[in-house]
Amino acid sequence: MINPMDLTGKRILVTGATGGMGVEASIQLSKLGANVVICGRNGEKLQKVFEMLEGKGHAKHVLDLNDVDSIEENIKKMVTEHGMFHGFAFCAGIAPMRPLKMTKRENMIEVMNANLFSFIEIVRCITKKGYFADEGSIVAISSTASIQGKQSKVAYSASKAGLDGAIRCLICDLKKKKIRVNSIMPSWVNTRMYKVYIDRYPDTFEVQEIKEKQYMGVTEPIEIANTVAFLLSDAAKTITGTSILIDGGISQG
Amino acid sequence: MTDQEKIAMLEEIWELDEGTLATDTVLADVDEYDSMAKLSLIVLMDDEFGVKLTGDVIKGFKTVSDILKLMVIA
Repeated sequence: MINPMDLTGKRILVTGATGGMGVEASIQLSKLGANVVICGRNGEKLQKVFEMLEGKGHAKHVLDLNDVDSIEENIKKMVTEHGMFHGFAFCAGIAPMRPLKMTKRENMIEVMNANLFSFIEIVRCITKKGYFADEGSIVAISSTASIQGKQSKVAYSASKAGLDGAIRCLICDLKKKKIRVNSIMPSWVNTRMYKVYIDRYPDTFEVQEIKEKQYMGVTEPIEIANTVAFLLSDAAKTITGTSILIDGGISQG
Repeated sequence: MTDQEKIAMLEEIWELDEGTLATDTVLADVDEYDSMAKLSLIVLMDDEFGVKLTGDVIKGFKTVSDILKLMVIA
């Protein structure tokens, strides 16, 4: 038996670890042998995820990514306590629907902080000398919204397009350390966020679209988790600056 | 907040001329009350009144007054 996605001995930071995709990614990474450091806003939820991790050597930190200015000291604390990181999975994010006429600056700032600025700030802080292993890997959850326009998604799409734009530059800035950075662009994934959408916006074009166009079905979080693990592993040793589309056919269908 | 002020908010987000809506206006008769109008309503209720509307609640709205009843600042 071989396991090309083996992550034994790799310390990996997961933010948004209490969200649908973050939980699944954290557990899967632990099952593949990684030492996972999970972060989330809610201490109780974080504890529950922590208890689901397999094996030993994991840690948890309560961290509110909306407070972008607190990221630097938190990363420093984590590295001091646990040692150097080999990987980082950015699974945090918010996806509000808001018509253009109701999208004000404060709404955009909220989305940008959660989906984009916090990511860049973490990458800036975690790649400081001695904090991140050379040839380490960073993965962010982007979205098909990064490349596809939709009604009422201005702030969200801009944040995801910004994320993928930033990634293409980050790899250049991190060239010397050979740190890889990639994203995953899912369409609809079967998480709590998806269920809230179905419940809140049952008549909208989006829900109709899922049924008609995502013909391979709604993606299960484990598939996202496996792709995160693949991109963090040595199986993807020279994959960098790109994005893997996981959309059930919606973009082409 | 008076009913008239609340109706003015609905007319604004749905881009209707002033005076188009009344408390007894039947929503099914308003052409502009489509899926985007419902989304605008969800956002308005959340922003201004802290009310999180669900699909079932929205389906239950028959007249403008059904909406006005929920437009209360908690």
